[in-house]
Amino acid sequence: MDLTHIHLLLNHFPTIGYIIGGGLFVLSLITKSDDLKRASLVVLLGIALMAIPTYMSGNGAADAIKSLPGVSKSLIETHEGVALEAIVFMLFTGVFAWLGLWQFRRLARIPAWNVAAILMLTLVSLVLMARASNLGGEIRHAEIRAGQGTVTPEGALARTVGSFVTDTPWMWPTCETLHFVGLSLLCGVVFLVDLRVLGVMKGVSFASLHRLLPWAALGFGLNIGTGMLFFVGIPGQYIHNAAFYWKIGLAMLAGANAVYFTFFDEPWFLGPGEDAPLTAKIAAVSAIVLWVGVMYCGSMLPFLGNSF
Amino acid sequence: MTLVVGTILWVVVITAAVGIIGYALDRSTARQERQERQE
Repeated sequence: MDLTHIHLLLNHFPTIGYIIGGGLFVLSLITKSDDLKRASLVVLLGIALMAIPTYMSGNGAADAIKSLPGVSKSLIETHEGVALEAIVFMLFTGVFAWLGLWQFRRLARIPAWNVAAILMLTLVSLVLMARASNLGGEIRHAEIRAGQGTVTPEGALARTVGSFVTDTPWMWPTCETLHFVGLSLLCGVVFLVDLRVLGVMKGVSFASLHRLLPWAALGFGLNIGTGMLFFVGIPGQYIHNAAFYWKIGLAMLAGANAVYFTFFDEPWFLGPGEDAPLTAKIAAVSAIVLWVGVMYCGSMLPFLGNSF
Repeated sequence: MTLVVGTILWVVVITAAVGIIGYALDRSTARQERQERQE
């Protein structure tokens, strides 16, 4: 199995997942069902995370077919550009969906401004992702591009952004610095929460530390944003790098693990001096292992793989 | 924009923006939690 297989395996999930997640969210508003609302936010967040490997594996797929007869390079670049627009909106949707889960835990409701933001972002993401999917289909299906030109107005947006990242002297070091700022924020907060669940700082309630989680989410957002810029800048140095596959895989699992601390009841009722249940401890240990794994694989990109 | 000036400027601007968003979110949530406790 290579990146082409992975791209073909994943590329329907963002569009179909956002139809399901967005549909459930609208249904939850109509039926006023809080459980359905939370479930729909988990779907939107999960699909947003899944969109990252979907986008990245697309570069590997493009690499494999770009020299084949009948394959248009400009159409591949247009597909990549629209997919980049779509993934940016999907990731923002994921951030607001996670925030909704966090707000629901603290306030027992999601503020109206966030409901409106999630609805708008889901709709825009869905339109862009449907367009990216259609353009992706046109690359290998001549029958659906009959009568249409292969060049669309977006042009090669991803390549333009990529050139800006690599050709602007301050861009790469700025992203590197911000990547570490994000990592510090993320791991600082996540390890604090995990250590409390494991029995360190027992005098502090879980709810007090839970309040810090948006700082970890902001750090994660900073890391995803800068990480995507690195990837768009020089995709070739990542798509053939085994350490990078591991890093992305572990980061996806760690992101999913974070849902445990906002969605499930067990850790929330952990008061001062109380011992966490075994499942919460397992989630905390796995979070630490996963994030250390992400950091290790990130550091080993030049050594285990061929980056830099 | 030179390497040093550009790097420092954008790191400070984006870190400050993240700080302001995090602080505003924390304050607004804390205010709403207080209001709900009082009701």
